[in-house]
Amino acid sequence: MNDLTAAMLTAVQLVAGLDADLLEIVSLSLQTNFLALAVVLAPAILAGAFLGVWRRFRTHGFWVSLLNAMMGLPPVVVGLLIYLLLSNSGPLASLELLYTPTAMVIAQAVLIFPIVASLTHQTVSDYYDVLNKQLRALGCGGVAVMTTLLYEARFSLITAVLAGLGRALAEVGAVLIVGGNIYHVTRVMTTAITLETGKGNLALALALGMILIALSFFLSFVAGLVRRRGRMQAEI
Amino acid sequence: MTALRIDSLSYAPGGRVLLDKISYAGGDGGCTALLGPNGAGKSLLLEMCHGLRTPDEGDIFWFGRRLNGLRDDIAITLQKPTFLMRSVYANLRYVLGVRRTPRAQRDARIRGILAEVGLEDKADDPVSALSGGEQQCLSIARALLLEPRAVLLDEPTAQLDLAATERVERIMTRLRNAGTKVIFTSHNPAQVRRLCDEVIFMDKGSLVACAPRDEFFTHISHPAARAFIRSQSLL
Repeated sequence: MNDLTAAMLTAVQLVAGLDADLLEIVSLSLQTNFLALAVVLAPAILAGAFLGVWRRFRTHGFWVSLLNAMMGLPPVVVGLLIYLLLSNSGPLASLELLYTPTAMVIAQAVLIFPIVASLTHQTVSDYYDVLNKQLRALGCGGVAVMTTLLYEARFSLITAVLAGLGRALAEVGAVLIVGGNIYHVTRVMTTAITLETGKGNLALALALGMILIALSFFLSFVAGLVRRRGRMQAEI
Repeated sequence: MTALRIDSLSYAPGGRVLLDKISYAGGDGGCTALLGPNGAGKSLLLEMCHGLRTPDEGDIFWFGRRLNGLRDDIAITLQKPTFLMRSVYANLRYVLGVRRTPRAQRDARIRGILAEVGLEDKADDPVSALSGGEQQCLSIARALLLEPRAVLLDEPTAQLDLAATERVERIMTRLRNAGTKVIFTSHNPAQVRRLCDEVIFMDKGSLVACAPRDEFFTHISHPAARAFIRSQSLL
């Protein structure tokens, strides 16, 4: 109990004192997470919206099932596959990306894409069921229907984006494999927590855990606020 | 001039006949009612006439041109109109955006239509704050923004109270008097008698009677139509 209290106190001191190592790890985590989200955001939303609006092509059910199944992709398997692609004997070895933040961004992007796309598909489908006939009656074509539904659903889509970001923030297996958890290079919050816990350095692990949880709460709070405010303003 | 001609229209998804060889020809202008019990195929026929649905067999001609998809000069209001989560004004502005109306003309058009349907003081209100009758008026306003030659209204006064029904009916009458072809579905013989010039009676996917209003109500020949009018009169 005393160890835990001491670790907590040290963790608070690290956070309050803006420890340099801590800041570096948090900064790299946020950079890779947000970059991965930025990379997949537009294509994932477009893919989800496309499947939500165009439903009559032959392989539609297959793609929707695939997206849903990919939401539960095991991160270590994704990490392993990307590792094999980027490793010295892999087809993308010449890019020399293994054990770099870029490799971590790629792994996170692969994991985020199906989450954002699938949740967008679900959201757009719900709006489609309500509005499609009316929009067609007003003369909208498929593209106009899709853009209108995306605009109407914009506040609900924040949940999809947040879920993707949450996955990236919490991700450890894939980034550990392709990033290597190298000090000052590819060490992020989750991999650092794993390492420091193993070493018994609970203070740093707890400090990072506190920041991770605080970030999750903060993002949820901001998303909720944006959603509520946006809905109210949209109707005025 | 013939406004609407329907040639042997049939629709049978999955082998279940919902519309059975419907043929009709009606003149320009005036008001036509599609009367019949629930499930007769009135709404389906209306949506086919708009181009929202495609028949399995048969053709539809509007003003001499074969209907092939949606047409700019035919507007429809749905039985359960839905709106964007925006203000009344923004919902109408959206329609003009879809139709690529020049921006400079949009405000005047919207204000004019709002005045026409009596919603000029509701322009900035969210649609969710409108009553059922006002939403139906907005739905009609949205259709009228397209400046159609024909307006199709699917149960325009269903579930509206008396005052809202009168309001919608006044708009329909004004449209008819302005020379726009009005076709609406209803299962209310009294309303049909009040508003229309011509009655089409449908039953079980078939067009069983079509006649000018007075002739239809004084010489109801088809047993299904007679039974329907009698049952509705008792309500």
